[in-house]
Parts: sequence; C-alpha cells; structure tokens
Amino acid sequence: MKKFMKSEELARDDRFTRTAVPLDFLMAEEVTVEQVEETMMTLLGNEDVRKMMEEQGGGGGAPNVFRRVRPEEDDAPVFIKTQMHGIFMGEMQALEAAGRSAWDFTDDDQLPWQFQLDMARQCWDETRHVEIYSALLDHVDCRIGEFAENLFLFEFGCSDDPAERVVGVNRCLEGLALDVFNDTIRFGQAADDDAIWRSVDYVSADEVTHVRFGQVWSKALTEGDPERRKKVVSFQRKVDRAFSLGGLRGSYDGANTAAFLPLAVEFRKLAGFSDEDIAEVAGAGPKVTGRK
Amino acid sequence: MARSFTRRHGAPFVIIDGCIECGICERVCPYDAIFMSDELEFVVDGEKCPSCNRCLDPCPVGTIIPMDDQRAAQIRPSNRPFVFDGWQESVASDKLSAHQGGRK
Repeated sequence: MKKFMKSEELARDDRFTRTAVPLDFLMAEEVTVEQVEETMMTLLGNEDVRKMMEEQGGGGGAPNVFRRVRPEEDDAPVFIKTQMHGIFMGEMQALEAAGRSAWDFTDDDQLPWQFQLDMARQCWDETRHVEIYSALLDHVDCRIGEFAENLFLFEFGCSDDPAERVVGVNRCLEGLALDVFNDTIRFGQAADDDAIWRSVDYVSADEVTHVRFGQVWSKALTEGDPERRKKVVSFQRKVDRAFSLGGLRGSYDGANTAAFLPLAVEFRKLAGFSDEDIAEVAGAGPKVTGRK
Repeated sequence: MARSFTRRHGAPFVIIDGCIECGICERVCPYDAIFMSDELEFVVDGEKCPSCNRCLDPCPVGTIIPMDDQRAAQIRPSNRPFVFDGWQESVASDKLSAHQGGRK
C-alpha cells in the first residue's frame, strides 16, 4: 500500500466540495484584516455565509467569522452549520493524517512500536468522531458539501519526520480542534442544546489524548538530538502561526468573551501544555494591520 | 540520530521554466523546502519537500510541478542540483515510479 499520499489524493465522493483557496496569509509575518476576511469568505464558498459576513462587515463591525456568535442571534443557525461542517471536515483530515502516521513510518526501525499503537488508537477515535459529527450535521440541518473543504490542515501534517508529523497533526491540528470544541461546547450550553454540547464534550476527551501524543512524542523522538529538536521547534512555530488564522483569533479563553476562537487553556493544560507552551501559541500570530 | 527508514514514497516538486520569482511559494512552505538559489531563482529542495501541495494553489503561474508529472522534464537548470537521489529529467513518469521509495 502506498505511503506518503498527497493531499489531492485524499478520497472524497461527489457530495464534497473542495476549494483551492491559496490561504497565503497563513504563513505571513504581517497581514491585513481585509486580506484575511476576503480569503475566509472565499474559503467557506457559501453564498449565505458571504452575504452574512458582508452585512456584518458593511456596518463597520467585525465580520461574523471573527467574533463569537450567540445562540439568540439571527446568524446563529448559519454559524453553527459552518462550525459543524468545519469540524466534520477537520475530523476527516485528522483521520487521514493519523492513518498516515500509523502507516508511513512502519519501516523506521528506530521508532518505538508504541508510536504506531498510539497513532492506530487515534485512527479508531477519529472514525467515531467522523460518525458523531456526521450525525451532528443532521442535527443542525446541514448537509455534507454545503460548505467548501480546504486541505490546509492536512498539508501541515505531511512531514516525513515523525517528530514533525506529530507536531503538525497532534499538537497543532488537534490543538486547534480543542479550541474549536471549547467554543462549540459553550455555544451548545448557551443554546441549551444537550446533543451538541454533550457530544462535543465527549469527543474532546479523545482530542486531549491526541494532543498529548503530540506533546509526548515530539519531545521523546528528539531527546538527545538538539539539532533535530531545533528543527522540530522551528516547524512547530510556523504551524502555530498558520493556525492562528491570520492572528485574528482571541488569545486566551476568558480574556475576551466576544473574541473568535480563543485558546482553550484548560483543555490544553490537560493535554500537557505548560503556561509557557500556551503563551507561545497565543503569541504565534502575525502582526495584524487594518480594521479590526 | 541517524535515520534508516525509506523516507520518500511520493514525488516532491520542482520548479519549471516560466517561474516569475514572486516568492509566494517560499513564504507559504511550512517545510523550508523552497528557497532562492545562488542563481537568484527559487528552487525546491527534493530532500525536504514532502509534496504537501501547500505551494501549488498560491503559485500564480503554475510552475511548481510534481516530479512524477511529464512537465517536470522542463525543470529549470537551477533546480537540478536539488532533486532527490535517483531522479533524472529524462526519466519518464512511468520509470520514476520505480524509484519511489528507493531512497534510503
């Protein structure tokens, strides 16, 4: 069976819509708010979302995608659909990335067997998550393909060094998932929607474990090899910057209750993040200029 | 740590004639695989490129090509020293597949 698949080779049936949005702002050291907004609107590829964001932005306020939406607001149904669809696609890519991690390095005789076991466990978890979010899509009356899929999450998990692979997939992709889940749980609780918040809460327990795999293995595989460790940390900083989504995410959970997608501090600490690790992720974004 | 497993199973990218040196590929690459060579042309380092596709969509002129694509034969001279072991521009795509996974 083939190893090291390209992102374009990931299997999707004709229900899915894939978009080739460059997302070049992800790695930039400086971005403008307008640049990020325009890209995100194109990325979502949905006319309802575009209209909603333009209405929000046109009034001089922050566009919907960059602020926390509350269940009582008119935008809430579209918001929760975009959120659930984004998570569903993220789970698909996380499953594919974990599957690759389990299989791509089977001929690495220096990699402990436990690494493959951990990646295999993650695959098992992710398959359940895909099923759960598929059901939650039905719950919020959203269909697969209603919003476009972009493969950038997977693309940051393609390294052929297993230490960098777990940084991209586990520490960063799954770490971002924890932040999204934290936001979604809060939305579900505020909406008094048990199906949403309890389901996402259960899934979060697995995600904490997956992020911990990233923390543990990225350090274990570089122990005693400062050069490799330096390279892995450098890669980690890049991915942290990319997943700051143009630096427009709120920093810490609780610091700004109106902010879009703040870091889930409690979840991340459960996953083995120190205060320094969290501060590093919070400070990883680019310099943001323009309207905010 | 010396690594002994087969690292490369996919086809990393090369830059072919027509690149306008805008540099966006270098900026978006998470793996430090794209850089400006001594000839002041951007090149892809086949040792580092995991063929993640991150650079393909941002490229405005479509000159970043997977090595197993026939168009890779148009590789720029500046990129030739950076292709991974075992690949030659004259190698047709069907022959290239025999090299995939061959580098230790």
